[in-house]
Parts: sequence; structure tokens; C-alpha cells
Amino acid sequence: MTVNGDILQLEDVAKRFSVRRSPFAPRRSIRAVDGVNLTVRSGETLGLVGESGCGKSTLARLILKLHDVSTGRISFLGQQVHDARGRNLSRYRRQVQAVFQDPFSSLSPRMTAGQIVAEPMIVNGGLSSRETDERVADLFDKVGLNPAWMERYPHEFSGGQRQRIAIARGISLNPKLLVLDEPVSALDLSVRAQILNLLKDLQRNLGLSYLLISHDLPVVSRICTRIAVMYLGRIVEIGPAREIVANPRHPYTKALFSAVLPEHPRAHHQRIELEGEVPSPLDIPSGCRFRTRCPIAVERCEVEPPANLMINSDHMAECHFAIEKPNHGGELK
Amino acid sequence: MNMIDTQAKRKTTVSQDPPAFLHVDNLRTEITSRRSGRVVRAVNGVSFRLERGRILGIVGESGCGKSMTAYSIIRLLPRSARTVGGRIELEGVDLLALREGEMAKLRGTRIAMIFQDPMMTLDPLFTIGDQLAEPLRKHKGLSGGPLRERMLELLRQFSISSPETRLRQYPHELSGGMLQRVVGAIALAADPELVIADEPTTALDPTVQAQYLDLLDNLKKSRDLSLIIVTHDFGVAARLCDDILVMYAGRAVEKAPVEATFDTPLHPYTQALLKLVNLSDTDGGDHFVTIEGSPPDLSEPIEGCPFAPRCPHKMPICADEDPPEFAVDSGAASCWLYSETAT
Repeated sequence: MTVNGDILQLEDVAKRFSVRRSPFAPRRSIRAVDGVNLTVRSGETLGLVGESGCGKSTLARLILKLHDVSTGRISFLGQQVHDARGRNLSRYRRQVQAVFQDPFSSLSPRMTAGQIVAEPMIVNGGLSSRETDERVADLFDKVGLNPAWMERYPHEFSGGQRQRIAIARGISLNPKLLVLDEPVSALDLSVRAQILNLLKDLQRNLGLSYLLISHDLPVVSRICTRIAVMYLGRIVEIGPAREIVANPRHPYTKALFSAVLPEHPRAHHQRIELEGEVPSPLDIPSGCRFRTRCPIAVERCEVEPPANLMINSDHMAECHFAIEKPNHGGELK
Repeated sequence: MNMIDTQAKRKTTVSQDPPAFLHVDNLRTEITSRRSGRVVRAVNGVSFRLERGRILGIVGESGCGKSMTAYSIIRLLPRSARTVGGRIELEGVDLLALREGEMAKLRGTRIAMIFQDPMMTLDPLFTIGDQLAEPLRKHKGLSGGPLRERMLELLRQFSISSPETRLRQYPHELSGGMLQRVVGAIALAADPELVIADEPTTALDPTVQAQYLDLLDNLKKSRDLSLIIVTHDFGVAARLCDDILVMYAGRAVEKAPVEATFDTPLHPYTQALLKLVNLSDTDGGDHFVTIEGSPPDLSEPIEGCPFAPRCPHKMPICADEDPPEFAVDSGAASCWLYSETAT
């Protein structure tokens, strides 16, 4: 499909959690991720956007093997990994690493910056302590930190520097894919631009692929190759970033992007209001899961779940009206 | 000395104007570190005016003193912080001179606060109804039927669906956006004239944030409210604010009507920040433009302009003398670029 090929593939991946409201209530099943098909291509930045509770973090945890899938398949470079155990699992985990949002809680306060970066290498073994030290110094250099700071503790660093430590740790095992969960949301504007620049450099120099999870749509629009939009456990639209921003086809994507705050006080664009709140993943609506809030929903949406509608070979939207117009005349601006 | 000279200039520019609804003059608030005993000058000579029915955005990066300015006004500073100088006048009443009991009476009735985290306001053990009733009983003397009517009306004003049910619910049963609206309803229960909101939408999803900002905008118009919004987000400022105050290193470096701030930012710091907001500037290659360096340590004395070490327009005078505030067009900037004589 592409010149570079796919690195990670998810086929019909689902994750259900079993919950009960009170100690004696019957167990019910939450469909947190509900039939996701997704590929990450080699060298790309795939943005995953959606609002709280849409399942994007659960999806990231499935990819990182912090959760096991309930059903479906995950494969990495052609190898099936969702049921990997033992040696295969460790090999997979070396190749897929993560950087999380909050550099204040994701770094252990009791370890020095050097120890934090070295830990994955020590766990994986194979390096002498001198080799490890050299590698840590090299990593510090790569992410723009002074190697002389290896002995310092996380609290001695600023937010941006901490995120650099987290990134150094993330790339310490030469992964192929980095899952970035809101990597710049907690950072100030000036630091945000620096970290985004660093991520770009690393991607180019190390041939990394990124899965970027974020609710910051302006950042996602600027740095992603493709964007996937998630709603209530499913990818409802995916395509090249430029197309998703300029010409979204799913009514939810349109509403989401219309809520982006203006760049200028005079730039007042029409916002698409969504009725009500996101339904509970305990009670996913029949048919199209977005229909309860959709401004163009018709009867058909209640009974028939929209199939993956391909707008072109690279752009999919799960909406009956992604291509044709609704026949009741309701038209989205 | 220079500092006295600067303060004198600020005073004279201010006292010529008619009295404002809220007038903050040369506010100084310090934080004393418990461990090291070092004193951080978190707010260092901030002055501004706010009129009725207007929204002022205090914008800046972390540690610039924007939240401390807000908490100084409503006098809800953490124990380690103390306002050490300046005046805060609400329609001529000097808030800093009031006894704590008098100030407590003012909070809620005339000034209210909305925090970033709704759970700063809400108690998880009480229902929404209990917590909304409290200010109405205490400040408005309502009870029984009229109390319930007023509570439902407030919840409706904040576009809260099925208000009758909400009154019986506990905070954990509501979504983040819903909780932030409840907190807004509680803040406005006793009809305050001034509302201070510290990053009220930062924790909310984009669609919920947009709805909440619409709501604040409508309330301002319908109630003739004055609002101070503390935010790091220029998008929030663009959407909602009438005036912008940009803070850096504990100082107000620029003040202007919102359109002027976006059209012709005066201070080099504001100019740089606005380019970062939309990641609109690249260095010619594929790198975003950034501001080199970092803000100064506010526990150390600062020579000259605090932004000088990072400033692309630095002049010799900037390293030696702290710039006073210069009036420029509709706004003002603390920057030597706007002095006719400085070099």
C-alpha cells in the first residue's frame, strides 16, 4: 500500500472490561475498544484524537501490551504479537516504547536521571556497566541534555527537561515505534516547540514511527502524517492529516475540529454544537454509535451500522453519508 | 534609584484616569520557600484596571505570576505567599486593608472564584444540591421552595441537563464538563460582580471547552459581569477576552485590547509567544521557531529588563535598567523599544 510498508497492524481489536456498579449487581461489560482496524506505517506520525473516555488510552495500552486484547489481532512487522509470551514479548517490548504526558509523575523521584535512562538497558541486559554509561551519555546528548546532569534527580529539572529524560529513556533500546501519549500537553508554549523539534529530529535520524495520542488538534494537524479520530471505542475516520483538517467527512470529526479555539479574536467560525453527552460504553447505541448526537442522523442510522466507507484509497469514514448526502436535506456547513 | 523612578511613573499614569471598577496598583506578592527560606518575587509591581462588563485575560507561561496575581486579588493565597505591597481597589474599597472577616463576606457576594479543578470547590461527600444551596442560604437568605426554584434556575442558566436529577447527585456521578458548570453556578449563586477564573477550561475536552466559553460569554453579557481569566492559552483569550495582560517574570509586560494584542503585539515576548501558539513560524527548514533560554530565577535580584537575555531586540540599556511602562496606541508595554530616548 505504501512504499515504506506497515510497521504495526491492528485487526478488529476489541477490549472489554467487566464491571459492576455495586457489590451485588450483576457484572456488565464495558466495550472500551470495539473493533479497531489500524495500521501504523514505517516512518510516519499517526495522530490519534478523540475526547476523554473514547478509548484512545486503552488502545495505546493494548499496543504496549499493558492490557491483553479481548478479541482481534495485533501484528508487528508481520509477526503476530497480541498473544506473544516470553522471549517474543520482550523482543516486541524493546521495539515499542512509550512517552507519557506528565513528566512529573512518569519519572521515579528516587532515581537519578542517568538511572532512569539506563534502566531499560539494564533490564534487557547485554551491556557492561561502562557501555551502559557511555550509551546514557550518548542519549543525553541526542535529546539535548548535558551528560554532566546524569547524577541529578528529576526534581532538579524543568518540565521540558524532564520530558527530554522521558524521551531518552523511550529511545534507549532503539525502538521502531514510540507511543507518545500527550507528550507536550503539560508544557509551556516555548518548551512545546522545542520538544516537537526534538521529536522531529529523532524521527528523521533514527527512522522512528510515532503514534501520537493527543487532544490538542492544532499540534496534531501540524505534525502528523495521518490522523485517526476515535469515538466511543471505534475509529470513525482516518486519513491524511491535510484531508482530515480541510475536508473532514464524519460529522463527529467536523464537530471536533469546529471546536478548536480561534487563532485570532476576529476569526469567529461557525461551531457545530453536539447534543447531549457521550453515551456510556456500557450502553453503546444501536446502528451508528454517533447517531444519538449526530446533527444529520436519519432512521437508517438507528438500525444499520455504517460500514467502513472509503472516500479514497487512503481516507475512511464510518458514516452512511460520508460520500452521499442525507436525503432529508440536513446539510452540514 | 531606578525602581522608585519606575514606580513613580506608573502611579502618575494611573491617577489621571477616572476611578475604575477594579484597580490593581503596583501589586507585589512574595512566596517564601519553606525549605530554603528563599523569597520568590512572584508578583512584582503589577498594575491594571478592569471596568464593569469586561473580561480581562491574564496570559503567560508557568511561573510568570498570573495565578498569584489572581489569588492576591481575592486574598486566597497559599500559606507560604504574602502580598507585601500595592493596592487593590474594588470601587474604591481597598481590599488589602480589609479584615479577614470583612473579606470573607465579600467573597461570594461581590467576588467569586472558579478554579481549574472543580473538586477544589466541591466536597465529594455532599450532593450538588447541598453545595449549591449553601451560598444561596448564607448570602441570599433563601430556603424551601424559593431556594429550590433558584437552584434549578441557576443550573439551567449553566445549560445543565435534567437539573432536578443533578441536585440529588454527588460530584463523582457527573462528567468533568458538568462539574465545571456546577462550580460556575455555585460561584454565581450570590450574584457577584467580579469573577476570577484560574484556567477554568484547561482540563476540559475541546468541544466541552468551547461550550463553557460560550456560556461565560453569555453570562458576562446578561449579568454585566466583570471577569478575570487566568490562562496560558491564547485561544481562550482570543475567544473570550476584551483585554489582555501578558505577564513575564512577575511583571505585566504588556496590556492592550485583545485585537491589538493579536494584530500588533508590542512586547518582544508577546511577539514571540504568538508565533509559538499556532506553530506558524519555522526556521526555514522543518523546525518550529522557539524562544531560546528560560525565564529568570525570581528569587535572585534581576538587573535590567527580565526578558533581555532572551530578547532579539536587546539594546545596551536593557541590561542595566528595568523598563517602565510606555503607553503605545491603545495599549502599553514595559519595553525600552517604546522609549524615544533609550538606546
